[in-house]
Amino acid sequence: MSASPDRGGRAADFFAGRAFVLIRRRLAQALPVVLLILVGNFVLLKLAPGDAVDAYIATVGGGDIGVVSRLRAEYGLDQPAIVQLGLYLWKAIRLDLGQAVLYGQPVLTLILERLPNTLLLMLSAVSLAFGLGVALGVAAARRAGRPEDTAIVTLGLIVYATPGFWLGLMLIVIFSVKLAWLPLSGIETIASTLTGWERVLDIARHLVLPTLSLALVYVAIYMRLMRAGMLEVYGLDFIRTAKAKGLTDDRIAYRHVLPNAILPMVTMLGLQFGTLLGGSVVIESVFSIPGIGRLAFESVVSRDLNTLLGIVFMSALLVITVNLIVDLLYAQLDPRIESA
Amino acid sequence: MNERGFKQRFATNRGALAGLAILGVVVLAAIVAPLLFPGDPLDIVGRPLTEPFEYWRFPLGTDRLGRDMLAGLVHGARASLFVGLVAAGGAILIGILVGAVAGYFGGWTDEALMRLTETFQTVPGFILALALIAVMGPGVVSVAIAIALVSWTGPARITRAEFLSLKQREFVAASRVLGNGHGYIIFREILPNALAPIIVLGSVIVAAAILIESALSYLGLSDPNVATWGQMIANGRAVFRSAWYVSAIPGFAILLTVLAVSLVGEGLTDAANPRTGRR
Repeated sequence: MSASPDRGGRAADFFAGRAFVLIRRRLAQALPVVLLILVGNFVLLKLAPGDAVDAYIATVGGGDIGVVSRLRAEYGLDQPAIVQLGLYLWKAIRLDLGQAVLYGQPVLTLILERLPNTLLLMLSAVSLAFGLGVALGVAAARRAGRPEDTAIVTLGLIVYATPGFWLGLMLIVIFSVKLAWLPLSGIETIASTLTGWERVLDIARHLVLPTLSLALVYVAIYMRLMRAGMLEVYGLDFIRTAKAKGLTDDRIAYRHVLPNAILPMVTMLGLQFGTLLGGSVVIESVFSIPGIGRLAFESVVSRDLNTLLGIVFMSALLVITVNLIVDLLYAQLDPRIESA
Repeated sequence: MNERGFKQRFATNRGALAGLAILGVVVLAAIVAPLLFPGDPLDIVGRPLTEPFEYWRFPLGTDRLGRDMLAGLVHGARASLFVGLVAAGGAILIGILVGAVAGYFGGWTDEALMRLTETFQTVPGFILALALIAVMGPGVVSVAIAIALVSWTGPARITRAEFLSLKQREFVAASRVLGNGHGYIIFREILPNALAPIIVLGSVIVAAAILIESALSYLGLSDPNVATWGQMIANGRAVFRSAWYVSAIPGFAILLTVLAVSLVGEGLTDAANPRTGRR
């Protein structure tokens, strides 16, 4: 970081400068990654049997050779591979991801239309996983080595081993089929006229089971990380000092250990984001939620590789953005981090 | 590392032993599947939807087409273990190669390989796996390849870190002075010393690979002519109002297998680091 001459200036200005440096550095790091993803996408498109024109012709039920070659020329598919790559990159930079064969709409429109549902599901799952994971991790660490600790750790292993989609099905059997407490599938009641809070409540009821199915694995992961982090901080000298001062166990746990142990967890939130996005593919399919995960699955089934690769690209951009936000948050929470 | 202490610590870990026992049963089932149930597990052999324990011929009942659940379960163990082990093995192999070359040579080689690793970490693994299967076509082998290609970044990072610290040590300098080539130093001198943490990570990767395989075969992206646990769960979906056990049973099989792998992995970790394990 360059020397800042106005260190005595207002704190807000200083932070703004630091945040700016961090953003610039992260974007510079992300650039080659984005480029590599696009090149990778292009290679996959070339490796796949058939191209966009074949896929289009298949959906309209065939066409003569003249039409096919005219379409190829229009899309630049008759050009050498390197020119095609250039065209592909140029389009991707302008977020032109082409047309989806299945829905006959631009891929970008389809993705943006479905993204809110996926983000809603992920946000509720992350909140649940983080809250419950931290609480259980703290509880386990404070009772380390005792039966309660062993019970929590064992439960964590069992939860980690449970396939989320199967858990979702079993929850549907119990809560939607047998007990009829919660809706079976979808993001909201179809063709309902609900508005305002009633609609919010309706969506919330639809989200309960998918959120549980997606979040439980991460509850186990965050619990483990939190427990390990707490135990590590408990071993540090300043905790011994705190004990020697005669502070209560509660005060040590919540005021001294917890704040130090929770910081690295924030980074994990960013790192796990991509995995969570992947997990929502199968959960959205189980619960028929119209999000980008389900769109990805539908694209595989209908052999629409272009849409699928559009989702790969957009989800990578999303992961990069979320990690940038997490880094900024982290820099604000921990003043020791100098935009490392 | 103290070999004797390692084995003893592992052998006194009840969780690890339980995991090993469960894993032993699953492996045995996978091996003897063709002897126990010689026919195709996807053949229709009885009345549809007989419940578990209803007839002794079908201890776990039959599915909606009248296929033996137990036969499917035992044959499914083959697919799960095959994909889990092959994919994890492939991921670790790629990871070791990338990590070793990056860590050993450093400089722009390291820079380039780390950007590649970052790229694979940025793309959500499961979605990339879908794209790879879309290109290769569905099937057991493409599922294994796809999982390997999205799981190698962890081993690569660990191997690189190990190589970065080990290459500074004197035995590496000594080997270089003796005139040994890069390949010899990487694979014969440094790698054996870097293997322990990679092997421990291996159990996590096998567990994750089995879970991803089950999700992919649930979505119908594996071979429809090979019995898999994920596919059995998907089959149960159509009848889960009346016969929820059709989906429940293979799910338990996945849960137990992944749990067993995790427990064995825990045991290995604790035995390898006696001090940093449980207090």
